Amino acid sequence: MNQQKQSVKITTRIFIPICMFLIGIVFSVLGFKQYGFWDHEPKPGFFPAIFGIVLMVSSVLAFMQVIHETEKVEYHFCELEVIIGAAMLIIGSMIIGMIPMIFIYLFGWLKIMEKTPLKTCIIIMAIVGAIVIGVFVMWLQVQFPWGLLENVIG
Amino acid sequence: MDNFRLLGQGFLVALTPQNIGAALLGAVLGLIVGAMPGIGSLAGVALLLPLTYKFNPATAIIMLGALYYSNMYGGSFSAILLNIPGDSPAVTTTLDGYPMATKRKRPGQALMTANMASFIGGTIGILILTFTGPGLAKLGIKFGPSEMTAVLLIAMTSISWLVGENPIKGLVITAFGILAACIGMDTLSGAPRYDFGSMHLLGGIPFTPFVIGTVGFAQVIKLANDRQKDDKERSENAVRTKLSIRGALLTAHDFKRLLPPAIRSGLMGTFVGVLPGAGATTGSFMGYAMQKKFKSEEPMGTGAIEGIAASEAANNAAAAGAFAPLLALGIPGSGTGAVLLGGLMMWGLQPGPLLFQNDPDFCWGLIASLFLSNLLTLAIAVAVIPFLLKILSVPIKYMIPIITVVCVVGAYSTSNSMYGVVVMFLSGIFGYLLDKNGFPSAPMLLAFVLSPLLENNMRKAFILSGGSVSIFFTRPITLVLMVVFFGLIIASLIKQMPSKRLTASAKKGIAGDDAASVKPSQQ
Repeated sequence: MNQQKQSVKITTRIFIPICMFLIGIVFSVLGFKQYGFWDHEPKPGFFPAIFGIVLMVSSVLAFMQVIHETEKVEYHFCELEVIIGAAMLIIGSMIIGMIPMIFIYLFGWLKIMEKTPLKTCIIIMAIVGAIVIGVFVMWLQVQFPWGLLENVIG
Repeated sequence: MDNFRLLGQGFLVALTPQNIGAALLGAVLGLIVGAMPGIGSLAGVALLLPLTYKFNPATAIIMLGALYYSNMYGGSFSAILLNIPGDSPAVTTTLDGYPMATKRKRPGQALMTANMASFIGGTIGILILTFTGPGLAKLGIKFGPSEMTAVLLIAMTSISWLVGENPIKGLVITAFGILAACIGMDTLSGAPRYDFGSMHLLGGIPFTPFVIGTVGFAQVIKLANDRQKDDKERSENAVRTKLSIRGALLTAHDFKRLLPPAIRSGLMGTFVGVLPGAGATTGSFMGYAMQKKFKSEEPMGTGAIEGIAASEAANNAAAAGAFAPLLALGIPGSGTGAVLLGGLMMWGLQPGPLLFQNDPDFCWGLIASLFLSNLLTLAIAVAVIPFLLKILSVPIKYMIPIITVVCVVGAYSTSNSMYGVVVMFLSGIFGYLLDKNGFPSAPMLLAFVLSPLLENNMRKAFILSGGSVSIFFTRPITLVLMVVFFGLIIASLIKQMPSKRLTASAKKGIAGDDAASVKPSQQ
């Protein structure tokens, strides 16, 4: 894949202080109005309201700083592929269960994305399977979800 | 001298074949549990606790103590090799451990540094526990809400202002971490806060999935860029790392660099471990923050030996220190301590001031076994270095799906729900965006983990003083700590002003180890 062609130049640097400022507003307003700030003693809104204000003030300072930053932030499609892959693993776990989905994901990624030889795929899947099933399922007795299959089987 | 005699008796208890076997088993399991992201010492001890029901108390606590202790070693393995902290005390180890292993191409030395620092910190912690355990516990109990507030403010300020060279971005992200931790139940009143009608948010944001995502999954996303470069490097240079203990040995110069931060952090970590509720995580963060105040040969956050040593020595020392209030006062210093306390009660023991008098064999056997566990764990941890290094020889293109699976499984296993996995996924994307845009994520994690403690102690302090801030300036210990806190802020401001570093770093958009990251143009 040619990542030079796929790189997209977007300046997202300013969005973080803006989002943080909005979060600060939400936390301080709710802290003061809804949860209570002070009534003879600190109420549940006391602490978040204070730090909401700290976040707002620091976000304004950070915004003034980042608008002078000239360096572009570059994102690459290959990074998005990892995110999409993980999203599919999570969604698939909710449908067919986590353990089957882990093997499907591993095989799919190694074979389709990385063009890995079958033998290597099997070795990697065996090692990961041994860790997941040996440590997490058998020793730690983690009850992994079986998704919709659980309803069918159960 | 009496302590020496009692410790000698303790060794007689600890050095029976049965107890050595228990310590060995605990050490091995602790290393595995520590290295597995998302499990941590709390789950490890909790899982083993029922199995020890039929053991005699000394053997049982020796095994669990060894597990708890070696867990601190194991946490650094995945932190250094995969940039995924095995447990929360290892978060700061990733800051220098992973860059040292990858960018400086010294993975063996990074692991050896972590092991040696853990051993030194642990030994300091156990020695202090041996000679001052009951006294230290009494000092710890003098730390009330105002003192704890001051300690936590120092910890937060130090790390957030100093990780990366940009204090404003550090402050933004620290405040965000504090607010994120406020989501869920208010711990003092039990009232729901900021749940926005979601049942999941009512329980708050789970810490371990949050850490796995912010540090681990974010790293996987960034690794995607390195795939082709990695393939090219491999084809040009078949052997990347020496797979031997000899190849991982530290030079005399490395050891000289490691020793002072390990000793300093060992001393401080022990004291932090003694404080109720502080634990190894606070210890490692404070150890790392303290090291920032001292000179390091390489900049902290870029693979400095001093950074790994400070973090690892502090968390092992804190783990030892946590036994002081547990045994002498019956006060657990952490979640794991609380499970161990449950164990003590299950075995029919009553922790408290009389435990050292009523059950000296048990107490001193445990302390002696910690020496033994420390030594055993070091030996095992050093012996497994060649096997661990093989992880780094796995091509990045294979590591991406493997680490993704480990992140998903680790996040699920701690929360037992897909909610934890979703938190991991979203926090991973968030951590990746922060990193891309020059915001450090470490202060957010520190703030997130310490925020509930800070809020509880701050509110309790205000309740005790009737709303007066004078409580922070009239109690002697608090006053000293507050002077240190304000001194740190003023020192940081003065440091920033003359050289206008703030503007320079803003232009570069540097935060944490971002400066050393691989440029996309290299693809």
